[in-house]
Amino acid sequence: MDILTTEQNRVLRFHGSAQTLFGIWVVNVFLTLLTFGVYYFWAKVRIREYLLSQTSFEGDRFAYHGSGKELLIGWLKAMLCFGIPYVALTSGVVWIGADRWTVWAAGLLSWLILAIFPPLAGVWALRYRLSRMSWRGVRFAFRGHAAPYVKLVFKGTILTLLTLGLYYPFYATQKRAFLVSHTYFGTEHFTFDGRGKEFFQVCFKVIFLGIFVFGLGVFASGVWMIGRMWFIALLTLISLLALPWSYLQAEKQRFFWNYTAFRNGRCHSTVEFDSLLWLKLGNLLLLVCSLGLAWPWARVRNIQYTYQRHSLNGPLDLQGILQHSTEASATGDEVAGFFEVGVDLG
Amino acid sequence: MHHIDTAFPAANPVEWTGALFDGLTPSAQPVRICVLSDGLQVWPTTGDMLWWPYEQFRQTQGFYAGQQIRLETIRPPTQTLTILDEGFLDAVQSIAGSRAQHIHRRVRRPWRVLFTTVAALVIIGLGLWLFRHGVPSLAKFMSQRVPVSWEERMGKTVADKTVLQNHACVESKRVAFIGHLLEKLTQALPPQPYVFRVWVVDSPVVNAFEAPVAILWSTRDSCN
Repeated sequence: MDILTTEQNRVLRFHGSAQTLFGIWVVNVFLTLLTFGVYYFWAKVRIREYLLSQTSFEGDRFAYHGSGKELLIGWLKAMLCFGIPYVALTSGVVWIGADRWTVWAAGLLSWLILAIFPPLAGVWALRYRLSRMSWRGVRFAFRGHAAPYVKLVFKGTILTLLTLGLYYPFYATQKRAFLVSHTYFGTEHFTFDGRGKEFFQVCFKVIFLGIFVFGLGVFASGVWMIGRMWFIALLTLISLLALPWSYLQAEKQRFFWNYTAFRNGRCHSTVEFDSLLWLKLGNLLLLVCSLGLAWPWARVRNIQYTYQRHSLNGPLDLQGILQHSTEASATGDEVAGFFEVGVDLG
Repeated sequence: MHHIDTAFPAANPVEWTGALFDGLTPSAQPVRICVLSDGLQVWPTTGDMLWWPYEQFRQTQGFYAGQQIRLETIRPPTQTLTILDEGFLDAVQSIAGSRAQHIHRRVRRPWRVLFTTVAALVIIGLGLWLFRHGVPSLAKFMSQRVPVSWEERMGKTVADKTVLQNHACVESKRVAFIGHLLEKLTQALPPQPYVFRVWVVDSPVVNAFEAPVAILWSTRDSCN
């Protein structure tokens, strides 16, 4: 039953409301304060549960199966294995008044932790989050190994630095290919066939736009600076630089999504730079004016924007897909939080 | 969930429609659900009736308006039942009563609104209190409990690093003058465990600052 459907342009839909999300958020903040932060993990789960359960695809809702207890245990492990050693290496040695060689050695070690753990945490967090997501009762999964990903990130970062950023499109494409091709729905994996060369052409346009806008920004800022209006000068420069940034983000999303496929269905993105820019500026204004209280509205705006502009085109072939259970610990999720690593595929 | 081959009650007043997922494949099976006092009768369009006793499943979604109701069996493989009509929850409560205590009660939703409002007010009050009294009190409490030796060691590390990076000014006349100034200033202070020290660093940058252990120093130019 409904294993193969041929309807085109399948989109995700969000059925929730910002008001309800605001209510959940308020109660979360209250309980987190009341429990001196312990409730934070359950709060995270409630938000994820609500957002996923209000997202539907082909009429069926997604579900989140994570628990606060898992996140708490993951956080404790992350603190014990990475947080405490990292803090000890960065501040502890200064605190105890160690000699300068020890301080240097500790500094070197802490840099190593900073270099290795964010990509590790990214993979682990993705593994955990996807393993706790399901659609039509079948779980998602990430089955990539951490070591090749860390190698990829190291190589990509070094080459990007050495080539003054020219290698970035190739690196970003390889990273995306790794993450997407190891993402599974049940027993079936997603595919990514984008090439770095094509993304390089996209980025090339952005570089030219960036140079032009930067020149324009410097000129406009200069005019303000003559009048000693430093703040307005800075604001002008930042606002103008938001244009190439937004352009790059939109192009990147379109490129990444248009080359992502699931069996015979291909993902399609219609994100445009002007609408993305308005969305981000609008959200920024909302958050600044409300002192952060409008966070749920900004979040829902983001979700609705993303869902409306992404679709899966072609036949949705679910034939032969089976449940494939994988175990994943929440430690990665919390390590990612500790190092501020983003793990979204979008 | 075991299968019972019985006929679906013809005129059941508490019949709901939903979808059943077997937990093994992504195929959805349309079902009709009958709410009874000790469980649910789940009738797939094809196949036998499934019996879901209340104690053998849990509700994982359907706690907010507009949210799909999701029931999952406790034992693996996890079968899932989704129902869109929220009236289902009321029916379960009225028919099953205490046996369905783990199923969400919609009548409690107004209380949740009240709780949210109270929570919001408490957050505002607590935030103001923390800003005005809580944080300063906590800082005072904590700082009183930090051993002086820790502060001294940390300050010394900072001082050593700064003095090493620049050249300490050791001109006796200037050092004596600073020492005299320091003595005058510290005489006015109440008794305390800290030992004040001053370093004069030979640097073109005009600056003066202090480390946590009250070790003060300034650049030569600022002394000038």
